[in-house]
Amino acid sequence: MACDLMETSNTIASVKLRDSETVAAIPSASARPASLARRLIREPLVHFLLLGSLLFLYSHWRGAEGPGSHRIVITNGEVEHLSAGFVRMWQRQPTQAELDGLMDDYVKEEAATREALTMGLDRNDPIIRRRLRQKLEFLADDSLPANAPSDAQLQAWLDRHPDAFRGEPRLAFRQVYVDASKHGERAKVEANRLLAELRNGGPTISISKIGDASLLPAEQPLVPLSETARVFGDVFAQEILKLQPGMWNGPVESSFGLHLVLVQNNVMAVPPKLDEIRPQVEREVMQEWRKAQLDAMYQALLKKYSVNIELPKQAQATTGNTAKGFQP
Amino acid sequence: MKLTWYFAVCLASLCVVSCGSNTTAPSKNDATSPSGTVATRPPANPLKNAYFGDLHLHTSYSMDAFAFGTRTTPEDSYRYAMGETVDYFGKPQKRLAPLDFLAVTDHAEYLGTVRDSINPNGPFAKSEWYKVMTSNDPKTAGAAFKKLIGSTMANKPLPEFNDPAMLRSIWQAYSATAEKYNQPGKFTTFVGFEWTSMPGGQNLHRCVIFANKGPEIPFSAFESQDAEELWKYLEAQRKLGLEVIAVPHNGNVSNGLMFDTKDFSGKPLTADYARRRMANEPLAEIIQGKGQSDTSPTLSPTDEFANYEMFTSLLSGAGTAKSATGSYLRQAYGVGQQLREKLGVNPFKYGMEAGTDFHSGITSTEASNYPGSHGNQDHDPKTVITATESVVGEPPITIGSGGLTGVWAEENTRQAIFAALKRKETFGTSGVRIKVRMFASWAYPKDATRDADWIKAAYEKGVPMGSDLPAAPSSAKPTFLVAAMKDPNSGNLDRVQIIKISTKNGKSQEKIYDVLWSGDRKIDPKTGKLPAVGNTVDVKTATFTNTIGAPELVGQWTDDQFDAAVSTTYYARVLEIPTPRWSTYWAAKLGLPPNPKEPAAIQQRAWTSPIWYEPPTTSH
Repeated sequence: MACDLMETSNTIASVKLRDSETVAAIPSASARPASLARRLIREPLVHFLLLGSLLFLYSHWRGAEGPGSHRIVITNGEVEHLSAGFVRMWQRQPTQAELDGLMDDYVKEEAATREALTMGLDRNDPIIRRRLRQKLEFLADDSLPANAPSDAQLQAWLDRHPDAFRGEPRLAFRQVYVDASKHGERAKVEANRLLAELRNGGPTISISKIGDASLLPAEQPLVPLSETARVFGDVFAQEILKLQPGMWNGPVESSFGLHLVLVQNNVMAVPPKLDEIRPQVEREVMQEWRKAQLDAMYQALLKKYSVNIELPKQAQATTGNTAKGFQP
Repeated sequence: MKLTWYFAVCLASLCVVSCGSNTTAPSKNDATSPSGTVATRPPANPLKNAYFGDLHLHTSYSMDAFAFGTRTTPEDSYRYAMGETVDYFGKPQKRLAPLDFLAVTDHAEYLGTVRDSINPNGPFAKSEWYKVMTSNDPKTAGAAFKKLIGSTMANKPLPEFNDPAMLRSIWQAYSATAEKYNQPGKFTTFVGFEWTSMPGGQNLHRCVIFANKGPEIPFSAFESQDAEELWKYLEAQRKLGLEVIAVPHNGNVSNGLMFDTKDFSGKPLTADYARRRMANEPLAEIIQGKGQSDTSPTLSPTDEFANYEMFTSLLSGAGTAKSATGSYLRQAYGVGQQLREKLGVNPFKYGMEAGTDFHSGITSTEASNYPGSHGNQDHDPKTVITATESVVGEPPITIGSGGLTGVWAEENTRQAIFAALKRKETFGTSGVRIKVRMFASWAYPKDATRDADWIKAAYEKGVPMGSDLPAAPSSAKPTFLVAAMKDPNSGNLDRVQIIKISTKNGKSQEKIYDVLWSGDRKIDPKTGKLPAVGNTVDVKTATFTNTIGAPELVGQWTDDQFDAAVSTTYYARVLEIPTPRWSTYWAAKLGLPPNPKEPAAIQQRAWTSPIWYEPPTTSH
C-alpha cells in the first residue's frame, strides 16, 4: 500500500505543475500513511524489543548459573577447588578416577540443589533457616577486631567485674582418716581417741600408721580450695577453711567418713594481677565483644524490616499486640 | 567501554582487598600461654592422679542438636565443664563438681566444609568487592555485568580463591575455641569431631580426638561410611605430625556390626585389618546417654547386673536392634581372642572410656542435677515423665545421665591425658566420679595393698590397667590389686567385681568374681553369689542415705583357676549402692510416680580397661 501512495504522490506532483487550483485540494504526500511493515522496521522501539529478546534468548541458551538454569558448568576454578580439598584431606593429588568421582558428585549436588531450590524445598525448613542464621552470625564474628584487647581494656573489664577472678583460698593440710563404715557407732569415739594421740604427738608427728587406710591423700600441699572440694567433697573443704592452722582439729566429717585435720597453711584469696590471668580475661572481654557485635548486627538488620506480629485473640488480651517494642 | 571500566575497578578493588585480608592468627597454644601463676599449678604426680572428663558432646554446631533447639556453643560447653553457670532452655545450669577435661565432638557432616569455599562470595563476603556485587545501585549491578565478571573469574581463577589457608570455615573457628579454653594444669580441652557413619540406621559412629593441633578439615561420613577409610584419614593426619585416635561408641545399636567378624564390605577380617583397627582405636565407649555397650541380659544370663541402662532402638527410627551378638564389648573381648587364635592379632583389644553424647552442649552427668540432654526432646519434666517416643527412637525417659571418662595421668595436660588414653590406663563410669585402678602381676605378695605406698610397688612389680601381663612363669597365677573410691557427691560402694573372659580353641566363656565388697556379707556357697547390699532409696522424695556400702574398697584377688594355655581378658566393674535415677528426681519434683519403664533406683558403676593375658601363639 505504501507503494501505491508513493506513485499517487508522483502523479499529483506532476498535476500540480499544470493546474495549481486542482492540486491545492489534494493533501501532501508526506501526510499520507506509509505501509505498516515499513513503519515497524523503522520504529526504534521495535529495534529495542528485538535486540532485547535476542539478548534474552542468547543468555538463556548460554545458561545463567542461577537455579532456573538447566546448564551446569564445572569451571576450571571449581575443578581446582575440588582437587585442593582432596589434597588437604589426603595429602596427595587425587587420581583421575578419584577426580572423576569428585566432579560426578559435585554435578549431582549442583543439580539436586537447583532442583530443590526450584521446588522451594528451602522454604520453611527449620534446619536450613537455622543454618543460614548461624552463617550470618558467624560473619558478625568475623568482623571482630583482629587485635587482642589492650591492657587498658582488660583492666577496665576487671574493674567492672571484681568478683570474676576473685581467686580462692589455698590450703595445705594433713589428715588422718577414720572409716565410719568400719567402726560403726564407735567411729566418733575412735576419732576423738586419735585426736588426743595426734595432739600429744604434735604437728609433725608421723601419721603413716595412724588411722584407717585410705586412697585419700594424707598430705596435701598448698592447693586451691576447689581442688580439695573435688577430692574430699564440698562440706569437708568448707569446714577445714575455718580451722585454726598449726594444731590438730576434728573430727571433720566428709562423705568418706571422719577426719582429723592439721591445717599447715591457709593462704587467703588474693585478687590476681592482670598478668597472671591475662588469657582468661581476654577470653571474657572477647566474649563480651562478640555479644555486643551480634546485638549490633541484629539492631542494624532489624532496622531494615518492619515487623507485624499477628497474635491470636487470647494472646492479644494478655500481651497486647506488640512484642519487644516492635511497632506493627 | 563502560563494562571494561567496571571490570577494571572490580579487579583493582579485589587486589586491594586480597592484599589486606588475612586469616586470624592462631591463638596461643598451650605451650606458651600460662595457666595461672606457677605457684598454683599442681606438681606432676609420678604415681598419677585420676582426672574426669567427657569425650563425646554435641552443641548447636551439630545440626541435629540445632534442630532440637539447643543453642549452646562450645564456649558454653567448656565453661559448664569448668564449673561455671550456663543457660540451658532459659534456666541456669551449674555442675556440683567441675570436670578436668572435655572434647566437644560435633558431627563432621554439617560442620564447615569445603563447599563454603567454592562460593566466590564466601571468603570475600565482607569486602568491597562483595558490596559492589550486591549493591542496589543499578549502575553497578546490571545482570550482564555480573555474568561477565562471573565467567571471567571462573575461567581465570584468582589464586586467592584456591588458597586453602584463606578458609574462614566454621571448623577453623571451632577448633580455635578449644585452644582458647585449654589451660595446662587446670583444665584440658581436646579438638574433636564425630564421624557419623550409620549404614541403614546401624550405628558405626566414631568420635575422633586430637592430642593437640586439630586437622584442617574433619572427615565426614559423606566421604565414606567405612571405618577403614576413616583410619586412612587418621593415618594421613599422623603423617602430618598430628596425634589422633578414634573411639567407637553405641555398639549396642549397631545391630551386630560394631564388633562383627566381617569388614564393611562383608569380607572376613584379616590380620592387617586387626592391626590397623587397634593402632587407630585404642579405646571404646562403654556407656553414654543412649545406653551401655558392656553386655546384655541375653548374652550374660548369669550376670544379675547386666540389665543396666539398656537402649536397643536403632537410631533414626530404623527399628529395634535385632542382633545382640557383635553389639557388646564383653562378648567382643572373647571374639577378639578367638580371632587372635586364627589371625595372630586381636582386633577388639579395647580399653574403656565413656562419654555423654548429649545434644545439649553441657556435660550434666549428675543424676540430681540433670536438665535433659536432647534439647526440646527431653527438657520438660511434665512431658518427659509420660512421653512414649522421641526422635532417638525410644521414649526420652530411657536416655541415661551419660558417662564420664576417667584417666590416670601425671598431670592435667593434653600430653599427659592423651598419653593415658593411648596406653589405655583409663576407665569409664556411668556419670559419677568413682576412682578405680587395677594392677596385675605374677609376683604380688600377700597384703600387697597394706602399706601407704603400695601403688608405687604395684607399678614396679606389675602392670596397670590397659596393659598385657608378661609371659607366665610356670604354674604362676595372676594376682590383681584393685582400689576403688566413691564419688564424694554420690553413693557408697557396694562391691568390686572382676569379669574374666577366657578363650580356647575358638570358644569363649565369661565368669564374674565378686572380689571386694562392703560390710560382712558372705558369698552364698550354694549359688556362688554375694547377697545384695540393700537399698536406702526413698522413691517419693528421691533421697538415699550412705548408711550401707563403703566409701572405699581396696584389696587383691588371685585367679586360682588361671590356665596358661587360655587367652584371658580381665576387667573390673565397681558398683555403687542404689541411688535414684535422674528420672526419679524429676518425678519427685513433680510429685508423680516414676515412669515404670525405667527402674527408680540404679547402681551407678565404673568399668576399668582390661588387663590381657595372651598365651604364646605359633607364628602365622
